[in-house]
Amino acid sequence: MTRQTTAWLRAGALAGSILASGPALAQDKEIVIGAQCDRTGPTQIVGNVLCPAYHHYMALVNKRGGIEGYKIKVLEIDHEYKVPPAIESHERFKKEGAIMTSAFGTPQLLALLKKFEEDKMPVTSPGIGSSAAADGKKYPYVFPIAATYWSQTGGAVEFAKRQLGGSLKDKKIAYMFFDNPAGREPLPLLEELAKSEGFQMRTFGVPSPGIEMGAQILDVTGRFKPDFVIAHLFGRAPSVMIKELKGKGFQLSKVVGLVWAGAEADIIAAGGYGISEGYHTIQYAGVGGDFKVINEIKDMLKAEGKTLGKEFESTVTFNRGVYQGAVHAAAIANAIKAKGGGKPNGEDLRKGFEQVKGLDPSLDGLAPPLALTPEDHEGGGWVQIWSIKGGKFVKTQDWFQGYRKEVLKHVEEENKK
Amino acid sequence: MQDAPAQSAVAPSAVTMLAVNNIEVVYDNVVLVLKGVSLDVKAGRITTLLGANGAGKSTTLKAISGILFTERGNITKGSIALEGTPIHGRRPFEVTKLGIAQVFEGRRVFESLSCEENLVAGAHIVRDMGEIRDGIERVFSYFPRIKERRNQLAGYLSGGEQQMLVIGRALMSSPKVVLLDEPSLGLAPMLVEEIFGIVKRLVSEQNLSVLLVEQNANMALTVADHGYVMENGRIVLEGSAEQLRSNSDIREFYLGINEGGAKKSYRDVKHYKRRKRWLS
Amino acid sequence: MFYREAGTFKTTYAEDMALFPLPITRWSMRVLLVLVIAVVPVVLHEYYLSIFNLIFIAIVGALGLNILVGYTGQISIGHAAFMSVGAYTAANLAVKLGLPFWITLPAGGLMAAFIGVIVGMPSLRIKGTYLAIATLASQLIIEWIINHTPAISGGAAAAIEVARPTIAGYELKSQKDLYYFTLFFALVAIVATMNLVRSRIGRAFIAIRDQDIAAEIIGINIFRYKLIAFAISSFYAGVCGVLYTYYFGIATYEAFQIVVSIDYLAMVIIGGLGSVLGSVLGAIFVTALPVVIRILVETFGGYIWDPAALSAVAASMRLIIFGGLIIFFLVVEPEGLARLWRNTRNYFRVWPFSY
Repeated sequence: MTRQTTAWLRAGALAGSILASGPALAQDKEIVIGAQCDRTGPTQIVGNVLCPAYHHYMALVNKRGGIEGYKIKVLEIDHEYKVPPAIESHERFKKEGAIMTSAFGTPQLLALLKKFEEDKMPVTSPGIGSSAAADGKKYPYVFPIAATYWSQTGGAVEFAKRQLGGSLKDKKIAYMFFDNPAGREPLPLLEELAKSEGFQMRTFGVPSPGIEMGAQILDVTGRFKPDFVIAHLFGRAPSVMIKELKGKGFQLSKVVGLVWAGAEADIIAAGGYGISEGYHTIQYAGVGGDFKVINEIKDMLKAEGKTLGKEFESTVTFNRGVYQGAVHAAAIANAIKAKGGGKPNGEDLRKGFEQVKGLDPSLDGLAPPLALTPEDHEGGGWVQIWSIKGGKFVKTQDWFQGYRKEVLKHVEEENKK
Repeated sequence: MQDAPAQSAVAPSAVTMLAVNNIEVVYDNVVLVLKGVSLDVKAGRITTLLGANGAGKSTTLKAISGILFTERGNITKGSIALEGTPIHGRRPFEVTKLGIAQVFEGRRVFESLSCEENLVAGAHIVRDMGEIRDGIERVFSYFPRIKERRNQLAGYLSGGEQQMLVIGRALMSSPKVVLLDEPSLGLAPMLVEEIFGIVKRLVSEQNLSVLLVEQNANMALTVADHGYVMENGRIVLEGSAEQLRSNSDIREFYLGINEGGAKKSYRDVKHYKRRKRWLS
Repeated sequence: MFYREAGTFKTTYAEDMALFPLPITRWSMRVLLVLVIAVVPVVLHEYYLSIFNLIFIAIVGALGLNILVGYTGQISIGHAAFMSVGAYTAANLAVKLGLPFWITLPAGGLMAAFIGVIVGMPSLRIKGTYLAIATLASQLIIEWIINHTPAISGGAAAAIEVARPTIAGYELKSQKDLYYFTLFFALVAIVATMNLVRSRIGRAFIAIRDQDIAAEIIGINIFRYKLIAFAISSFYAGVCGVLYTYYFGIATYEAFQIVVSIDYLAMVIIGGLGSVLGSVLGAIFVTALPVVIRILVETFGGYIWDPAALSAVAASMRLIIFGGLIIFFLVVEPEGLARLWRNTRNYFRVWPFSY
């Protein structure tokens, strides 16, 4: 049985070849960030916009002279939304001297949760991961840095309340959700709000992959006839929902989608802005290209003689990438300053994150009035409402925190378990 | 059974090993294949079952071994007994444990196992290692060709060797009765003779009972002690091999020899067969 | 030319039945064992150990799937579901009852084996593509049940955090600690499988795969052995799931979705169906090759593509090259990498002659 012999020999040869081509270690005046991404897997529609945007912003930061004299180096690894490659990427980042990670994908973040803690490496997870991670005491190294699903849900209910004339008493709210852990996460909060606000809530789970929801739509429009619909859907599901609701004659101005149900791609896939007219979306970063930082990025690329890529067409996701970059930059700046110009490590950067207040001024209007603290790693849970009006995204409501008290209570309860 | 009230050449003292009593087999709940088949396999003898394609010979064997069930067949009537113990309706592995081994037509060796491993696999119901080793040596003594190729993958053997291997494999479970289905299929005449010679030796030396299904009636009647002829799901003729060999119908249809002893052309046989049936 | 059978004579049955009958294989195995146990973890950086860890865990799962698909010939697209059964069983036992890994690990395996037997029931009546669909359904059903049963999944997030395994009070948490942890189970799984497939049970599996009717007629209770195959295969999957759980520090069903089942099928098909070496090679191929390709593209791609766009290029190149290599290897040798190795070995056995 030489079978085993060779198996190991091959493994050895493989490891050898990896060793031989290992890149050089981090430079002295350089801060290394590890960015996980999905450019080829099921969430590539997000990854192919968000990741380039992040790279563009970091390039802009470097062009401006870096942060406190340090250049930023972003290592990116595409994990195809699979868990094992995400593990591998984390170790790789560590080896190359990364002091923080930008996570991509909930299962990948969960599988590395322990590692980040053990390696004392902060990780940001805007729009992904569990809402309970907003608690900095329980999860010292995880930074959602943007409104979690609970905060988004709070925002959605508050928005519905405002749209329905200031009271939810005896109103009917339908919650359409992707039937996975992320989709079900807001349920306990919704149930509590239904009790305290006195509205009737019914849930409609959509099974993966969420492209077939005729039954649920019929239930919603034909039988339940809600006053408002909150949609927490992913992937192709939001566009299917918009199309089907429209087809049944349901008023889209009574529908609000959480953050993964409200990008340009969803509107286009649903049949365009005409069909989606009236649809509301929750956003944790501004929408549109009309921000100083976006123009700066465009100018930088043009000056380098590059053409603007496709990623610029999806401003919702693009701006999230930029926002993420700005938060990282602010935290790094804090960490370097705290060290008196010295090179920070992961632990320093964690403290840097916990003092982020106010970002790069060129992001004015794009970023929320974020304030991270040792307790609150979410930074306030700020959201905006953008709606489809007259063929484009229009800001309907500026930054606000929906049911902040209730959300915080839930975070606390969940972490006590 | 109008034709053959048993004036068997076999001595009446021979014990009946396997008795098939008036069985009816239905496939898929609708297709009636065996319409009341009865036959006896005597201890230490070779009994042959002759018949044209589709007469129901293989089905009879499958009914005995129990493999019928996996082919959606069912015994709806009658009984099968091995030394008096009823075995019909049992699962194949149980039948094997009781002492019946079947050798399929088409030589179903386990291609990816070596010859020796095939034999060991054949001894699945035997748990004693020493007994398995003895069994292998015994098979090797009868089939020296297999011994030569003991470490070769069975899939690489020639057709004749594969046939020897499956017979050897069937012997590994130390059966009382071996059901042999068309061992001559697709083999050169010399090999057929060799294999039948070995079978004959096995029967006399190992006290086996064999139920042999053959198309090659000439060969079968040479080695067998007793024979049955099937047509259309029924037994139409029975007798000692001696008697069958001299039966004029058998000579006509199966041996292709006419009354004068000269070979008849195939065309004539067919013509004759169309005209005369044993059973209305 | 070093691989020679000549001059090796077996004089006892015990020698004939040895796992590695040839001295040269025994020696290379010893050298390899020393390499993986004493040299690799000491010499290599933690990063490479993390890849080894993923490979070791994958080997356990791939061996399990190969027992079912490769040795018994029963197709299954639900392997990942059994991993999640193992993962959640172990996580619940570890968190709710505070049991150590040496209890939760076999318990996870046994639970998966139990579920595997239930899922394997249809295999009596259906084969091939039909069985594939049945196991696919069971994958979805198991996913759904875990997802919707808080008692199993531990709440809406369907994720249960698990403490690192400890041995005599020592917490295994660095990649190096976990390297020994996963290596141990991979070695146990390899040796167990090599022995299993040469045992009475293993021969029954192969007999069922090669000729199911002939297998039944030599006295093998097909139904029972198919269920045993499902049970053993699922046991491996369950253990694999538990290993993932301890390695990740969390049980989450999202790490065991249908793509993972497909990945494992790819491992055993590329590596070689019905081969222990094939499972190992397949696990290495599927786990490590994308990494190697990416590193090569990152290192040398700068000469061809714009360095700024390299991360995007690396992602797509990895997919293209990886897919291309799978096709290449399967065209060169449809029976997988293990067969490719055997052919090479046989060539050198008679070298310098051609046969």
